[in-house]
Amino acid sequence: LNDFNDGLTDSISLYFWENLYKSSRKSLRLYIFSESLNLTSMIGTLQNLANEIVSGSQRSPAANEEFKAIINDTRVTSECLSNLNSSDAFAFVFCNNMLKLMEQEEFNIVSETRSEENITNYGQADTVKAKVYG
Amino acid sequence: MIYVLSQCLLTTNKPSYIAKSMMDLVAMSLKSLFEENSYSSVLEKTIQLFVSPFMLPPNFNTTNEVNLQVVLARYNLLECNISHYCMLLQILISMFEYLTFQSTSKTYYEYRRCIYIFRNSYLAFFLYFGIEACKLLFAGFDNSDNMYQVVNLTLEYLENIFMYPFTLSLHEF
Repeated sequence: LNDFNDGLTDSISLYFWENLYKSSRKSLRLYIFSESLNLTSMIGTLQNLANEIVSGSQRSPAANEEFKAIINDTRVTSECLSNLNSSDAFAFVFCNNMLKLMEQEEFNIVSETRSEENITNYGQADTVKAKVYG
Repeated sequence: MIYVLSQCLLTTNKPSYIAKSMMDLVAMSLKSLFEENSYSSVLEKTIQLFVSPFMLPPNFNTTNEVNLQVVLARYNLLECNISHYCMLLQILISMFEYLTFQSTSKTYYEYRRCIYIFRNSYLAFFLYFGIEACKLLFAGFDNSDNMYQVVNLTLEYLENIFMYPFTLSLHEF
C-alpha cells in the first residue's frame, strides 16, 4: 500500500485513503485482488464458452447463461470488443447475448394500456416518470 | 461500442449470420442512445463510417428548422462503396424496427416519450438521409444486381420514415 501511495497525485491519494478509512483493510485487499483477476482472465474463458455454445452440445444452454452473466459486467465489455475479430464463434455469441441483455426488459405495447389505471400499476418507480413526461 | 462494431463489420469479411447480428447490435445501441436528445454527433459519425463523404447540414438539428429547399446532392453513389451503403441502410431499418415495434420501454409513457424525443430531435436527420438516398437512386441507377438491392433497401427505409408519425396512433387504437 505504501508503494501504491507514492505514485499517486494528492487528490487521488486523498480519495484513496478516505475510501480506505471507510472500508476495512481486508475487504479492500480482496477487492483489488478480484479486480485484477477479472481483467486478466476473462477473454480466454469467454472464447472457450463460445466454442462450447456453438458446438451444440447438451451443455450449450448452461454455457450460454454463464457467458451472459460474465458479459453483463460492463468492465468486461471493452475487452470483449477489442477481441471481436479473434474468432467468429466468439463474435456471434457476444453480439447475440448483448442484444438479449439490452432487450431484457421487453414490454409489449398493447391496447390494454390505454387507461391510466393500468399504466400506473406496472411499477412504483415508473409512475414518477410517467407523470413527468406524460 | 458502435464504432468498434462498425469497424469490425467494414474491415473483415464476416459470414452473413454474424454480420446480421453485428448490425442488429449497432442498431440497438443507436436506438438506446436516441432515448436522450443529445447524440446527433454520434449519428453523423456512424453514418460517416459507412459513407465517408456524407455530411449533415447544421440546420437539420431539429424538425423545427427543416428547410428542404437547401438540400443539395452532396455525393455520388459511385463514390461510395455500395455494399457499405447497403449495410448502413440495413442498420437504420433495423433501428427503426427496434424503435417502433420491439420497444424495450417498461411503460406506455416511457415508450411515448421515446417516440416523441426521437421525432423532435432525430427524425429530420433520417428524413434528410432518405431524400439523399432517393436522389442517389435517380442519379446513379443502372441495371446491376447491387442496384436492385439498393432500391429495395431504400424503399424499405423510406417506408419506415413515412410511417413513423403514425406509430403512436397505431398502438393507441
